[in-house]
Amino acid sequence: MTTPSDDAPGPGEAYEFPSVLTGHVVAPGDEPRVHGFGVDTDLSRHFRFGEVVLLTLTGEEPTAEAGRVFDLALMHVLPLSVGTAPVHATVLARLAAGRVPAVLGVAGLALAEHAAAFAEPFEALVAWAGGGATDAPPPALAGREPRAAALLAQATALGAAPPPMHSASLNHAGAVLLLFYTSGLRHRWQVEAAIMMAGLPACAAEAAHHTPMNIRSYPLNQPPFVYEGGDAP
Amino acid sequence: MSSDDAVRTRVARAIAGENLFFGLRVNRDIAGRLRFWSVYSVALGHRPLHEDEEALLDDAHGAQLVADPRIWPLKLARIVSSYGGVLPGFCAGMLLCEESRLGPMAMLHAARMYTALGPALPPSGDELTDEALEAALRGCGYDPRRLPGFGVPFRAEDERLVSLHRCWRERGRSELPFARLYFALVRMQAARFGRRPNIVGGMAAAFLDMGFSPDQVALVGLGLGVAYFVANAAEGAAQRHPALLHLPATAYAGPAPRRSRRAGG
Repeated sequence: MTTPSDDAPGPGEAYEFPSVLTGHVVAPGDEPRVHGFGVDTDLSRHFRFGEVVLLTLTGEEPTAEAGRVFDLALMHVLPLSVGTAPVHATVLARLAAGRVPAVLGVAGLALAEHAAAFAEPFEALVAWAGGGATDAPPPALAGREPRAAALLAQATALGAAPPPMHSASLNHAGAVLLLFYTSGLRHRWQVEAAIMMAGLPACAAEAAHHTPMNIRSYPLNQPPFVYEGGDAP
Repeated sequence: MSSDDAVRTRVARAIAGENLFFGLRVNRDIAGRLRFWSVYSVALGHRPLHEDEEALLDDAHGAQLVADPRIWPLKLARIVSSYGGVLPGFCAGMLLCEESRLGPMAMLHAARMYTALGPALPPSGDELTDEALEAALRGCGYDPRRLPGFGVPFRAEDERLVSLHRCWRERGRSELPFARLYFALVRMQAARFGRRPNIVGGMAAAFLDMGFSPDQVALVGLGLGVAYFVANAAEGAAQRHPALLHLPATAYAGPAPRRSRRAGG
């Protein structure tokens, strides 16, 4: 086997690749545009932030009602308390004296996993709601919870009624996902992105209440761990 | 909270004067006694490795070292580290590899195929004919024309396999069950479909012959990938190259400028 020279062409030179990276959402420039809409002269003057997020995710100008329902859904996935995995992880990152980008990076990572788990039944919900919600909801989303009923009633009062059939038999997660659907989201990645975004403020703010390297302030043994190392392999 | 709600762990516990690790004591059983790949193997819930197994892992670690920063997972590490932090780049690159067909954890799919094939194959000692292999593959739900661990993008053959095959033979491990299956698949794929193996399939077979499960094989891949992710993340962080922080060569292919209905459009 001969040894090729250091400047011998490799796989990166043997084929023709595009010369530019093509974008489809944001057009840069003196006035950036999102899906063609100017940020400075249009979106920032006529839309609320939540509506612009929704527009960015869908590519379509939302109705005011859809924007309000989207905001409502975001509010219901925002309050993550310190025991939830994303906030707990962010606090721990802060205590371990991570620099802020690392702390927020941990938050983002945990939130992405949290959002994926939360949105896992969304495709089943889309099929259910898209079919008129005439059957019982998907099992993972079923349950009669007062908070879910109150949320759906609030959404109805905002003028964007979710599909009525059987929506009263949704649990809270099901009601939130139904609101994301009603606001115009149809793909799981859209819902995951929205949930991730909404969870970040609580993670960051809670972490800021904790002091780096304050070892004694953290409940090391919660939850308790039991070592079961067993016999040596 | 009752003891039933406790988190049970086989991994470790720190006790006074010693650290426990998967049933071993670090000072007594590990430090100065086990080499890197044996500790790594124990960390995966497997046993300490034999000397020839450790040596083949060292061989594979060298053979699979392709660190060209243009390769997607490595370029990802490079981009994220360009803000100056090594670990964000390293973690981003590694993160991409979770269950991916790219990167060091791609061995998972090949390892699952080999273990699925095992019971479907003729009894040990019989020749693995191409016909028997193809029937076994179809019986396990695999399309013989598209097998994990086969196909070499952008080049005629996977140069990394040259070293791995040589080391495999020199270590006397190329006649073990999964190795035999691998080489039979290589023969069948070349004869039937003109497809060449890539290093993913070879390493997966070699590591299955060490007793690792498919999930453990994938995590061995994680250990193998550390060097090329660290290299790119470290250099990327040191360079902070502006072209990676803001790529100049871009184009926009989204909607043309338009006005919203609310703005009178």
